[in-house]
Amino acid sequence: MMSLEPFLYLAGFMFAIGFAVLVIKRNAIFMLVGLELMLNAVNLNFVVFSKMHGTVEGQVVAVFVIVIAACEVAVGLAIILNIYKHFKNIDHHSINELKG
Amino acid sequence: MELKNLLENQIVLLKDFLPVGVMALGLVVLLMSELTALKTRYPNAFAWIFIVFFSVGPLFVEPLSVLEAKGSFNILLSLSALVFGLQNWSLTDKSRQNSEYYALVGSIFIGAYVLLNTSHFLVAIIGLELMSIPAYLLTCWNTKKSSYEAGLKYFIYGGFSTAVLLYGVSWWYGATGFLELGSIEVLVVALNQSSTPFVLMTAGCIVIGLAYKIAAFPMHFWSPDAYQEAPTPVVGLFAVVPKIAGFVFLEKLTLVLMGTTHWQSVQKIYLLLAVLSLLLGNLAALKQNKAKRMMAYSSIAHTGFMLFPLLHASESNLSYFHFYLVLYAFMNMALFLFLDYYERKFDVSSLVDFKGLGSKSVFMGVLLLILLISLTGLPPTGGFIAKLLIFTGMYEGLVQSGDLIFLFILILAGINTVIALFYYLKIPYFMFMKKEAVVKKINPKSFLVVNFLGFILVFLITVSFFMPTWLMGIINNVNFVQ
Repeated sequence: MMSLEPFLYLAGFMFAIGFAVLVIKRNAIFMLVGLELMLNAVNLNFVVFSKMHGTVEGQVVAVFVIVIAACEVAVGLAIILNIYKHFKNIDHHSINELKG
Repeated sequence: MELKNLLENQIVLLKDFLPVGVMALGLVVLLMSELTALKTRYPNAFAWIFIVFFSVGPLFVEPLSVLEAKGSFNILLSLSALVFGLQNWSLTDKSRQNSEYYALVGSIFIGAYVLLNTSHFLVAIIGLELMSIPAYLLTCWNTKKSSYEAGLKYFIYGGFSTAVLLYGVSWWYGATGFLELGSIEVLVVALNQSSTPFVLMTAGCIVIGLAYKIAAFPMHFWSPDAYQEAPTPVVGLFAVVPKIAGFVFLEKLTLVLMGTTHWQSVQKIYLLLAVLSLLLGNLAALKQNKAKRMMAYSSIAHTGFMLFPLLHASESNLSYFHFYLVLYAFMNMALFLFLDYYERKFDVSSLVDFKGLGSKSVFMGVLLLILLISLTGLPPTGGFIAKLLIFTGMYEGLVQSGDLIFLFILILAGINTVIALFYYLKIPYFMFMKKEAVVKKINPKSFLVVNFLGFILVFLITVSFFMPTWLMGIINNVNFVQ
């Protein structure tokens, strides 16, 4: 059996990329993609640790995280759609009516 | 025989979730009744359904003896649901006579209930999401341009902190092999085998994820915008319900981390969060001119204050922490009740709008003054006792551990109480000291229920100054962390 450690590095890498996308990208949809990437990194981590410990708990969490991610995207896209309706773009730098 | 035992076990398990079942039934009833003619016949029907299923129902199926063993924060949730229901009950505002509005709020309550009564990470995450996802939608409820903006910000920060929290939990699971926080000794042994930077990273991720729900420093950016744009009764919930649930879960986590050998360094994370939330909340509140926005920063400062006892989580300190949490909940329930009253009756949104309102409604004005004094932490109100207990706890920490951090905290918290005085008393200053500039329109409706509720809440806050042992007795009788 191959070592499980590379998967942890991969998960960490994915998490970092997701974070970078979230911070750097101005487009709200891309920020959503970054969030998804971060959540998928978490899933990978959970599955790997589940394999390491020999318990199923981690895999169960991964399934729940997938559901949570789906809910979040549904709500997020609804908000972004309305943002587009009102602001005529989804660049989050130009969405700045509230200050202080 | 075995099957029978198994079934009995399952029924015992289900019994714990009976209140959640009642609330979930409430959601179904709310959404189904939208299809009937109930709304046109009885405009207040949804508020009643909400009160029955989310406030009375959970208490009814869970007798008080069970509650005492588990934690009276469930009662606080029911109380908060009752206040919310009654506050919306007298409304004619069309946007709130809507079953989705109550269903979304109900989902927040289910999430808070789940999070309060669990010590399992998976269940806690589900509870957190049950609270956050409806909260994004409720922020956008007014369907204005700016409320969508607040909703988007809330959503991005919420999603980010969920991801960070989950990443921390996954490493926690990797290090310990458990998702359950109940068996402290086992977890402590497992965590002691890990290196300090690793535990620091894991705990840091989890604490920062929770900091978003309690609106503490690095994840607080959403709160002023969301508070400003969401409907005011909902803001009252944002300030109370997720905060109680988040803090109680954070306390369970702290009790585990405290036993490990890494606590000295993990403590620094808490200290950083607490000090920065306190300073930033108070200093930013000084220059606000919108009432709800100012109160958002004030609640960030209160979060900072509540994090201090967790730095030195001795038994007495935890009971001080619970005392502060209960009083904080009462004060914020009352505060947003009053802000909602002024908003609906006199169309007030910024601080200058309060000009001369003291003479228009003396009763509510005086009550609000008492409440704001309590929020500042001056006698003769419960807020003073709560702050005093936190100071006592910090002094105990200083004496017991000899750590100069606690001296620093004492000085800082004292300075911040003075800063808080300046912005809280701005509202009474405008109300009583200034003459009204222009005659604004006044809503002729009577607000008897709101007045009465406000009176009761402020009365309770004042009583807890004269009889703190009474409230403390209730809190000490209860075992909050299973």
